[in-house]
Amino acid sequence: MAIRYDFDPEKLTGVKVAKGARREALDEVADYVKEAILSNTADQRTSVDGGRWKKKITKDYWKNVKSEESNVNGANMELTGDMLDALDTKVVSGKVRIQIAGDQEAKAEGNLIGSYGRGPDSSKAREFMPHKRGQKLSPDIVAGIKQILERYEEPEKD
Amino acid sequence: MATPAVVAKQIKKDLQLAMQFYQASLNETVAQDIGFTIVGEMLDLVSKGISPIAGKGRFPAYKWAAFRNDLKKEKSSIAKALKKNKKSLVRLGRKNERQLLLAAKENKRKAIAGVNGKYPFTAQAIKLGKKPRPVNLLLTGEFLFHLEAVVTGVAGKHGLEIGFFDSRQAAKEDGHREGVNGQPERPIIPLAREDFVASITNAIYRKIEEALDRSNALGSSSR
Repeated sequence: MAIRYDFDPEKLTGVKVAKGARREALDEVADYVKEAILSNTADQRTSVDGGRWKKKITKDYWKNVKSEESNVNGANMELTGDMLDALDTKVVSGKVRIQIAGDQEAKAEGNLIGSYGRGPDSSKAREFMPHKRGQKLSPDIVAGIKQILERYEEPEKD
Repeated sequence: MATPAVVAKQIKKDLQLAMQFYQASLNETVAQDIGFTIVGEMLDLVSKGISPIAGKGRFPAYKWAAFRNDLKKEKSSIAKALKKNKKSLVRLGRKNERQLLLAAKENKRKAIAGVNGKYPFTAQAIKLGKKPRPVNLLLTGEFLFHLEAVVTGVAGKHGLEIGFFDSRQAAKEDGHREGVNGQPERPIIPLAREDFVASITNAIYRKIEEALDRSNALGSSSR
């Protein structure tokens, strides 16, 4: 299953970008969204509007697995760092795509739907990126995108 | 010869233009506030293992931590192969093959133990709390403590320099940029054509807008 989410920043924010600046604006939005998702994830917060995030990890997992690799006793999604290193954003056909590449897809899916090798369990989900139809990025990220696009906004016609 | 301070003289071309355009409202206090904001945002990102330089993403793993992870994965694969094929290897009399796998697994274990004598694992022994993740450039805190913002110029033409003005810490930043001792590159000061990440640029513009709003409010109230 491809872990991928595409969105149109102009439709999302209602800001119309000047034609000649569109590519530069979208590239900046793509970089920003990646940074924002990584930052929210490190803060153990969802980057999905209304998304779920199970903050606590089990004592057993912390003691036997995570404490050797990390200082963070909580769900910041970083043990070896492989999954977050696989998070990527790029501009595709005039939209911004967020994706998890290659061999980290299964791990990402487990976190997004709360399955972790078993059946989906939304109470255990950690939605670090939008992954289902109808989902949107969190309001803080949308505000940041809007602020970027406003710097490239099409001038108002008199 | 002392290493010169590493500074980002060119914060961002259009930001400098914005600051010059709004100079009437951007006094030294506001410029310093912007500087504090930039440093604060940079430290927040670095603490999470994220580069404050646009396009650089997450800091690469500590060299030996990444190597140890690879060794652990290989050891795990061998262990799975042994477990999966245990009965068949014994039944078919493929004793040599099983012994080779066991030897390979033991070699991986020794290699992992060897890597534990490298950074950041050595730092764990000296200073409890240093772990491979997040890659936050923090050991004693001396390096990050010296990250500064300095207001330059005169009234009406203020600018900002962000960087390390202590030669020892500037040398560390040089080392991060060059990737000394085979470590991956992890600079935090944008130089030349590099920019800060968009969240820092957004924060700077918000500060400028706040300053303008205060200035406009003062101007209206004095009429």
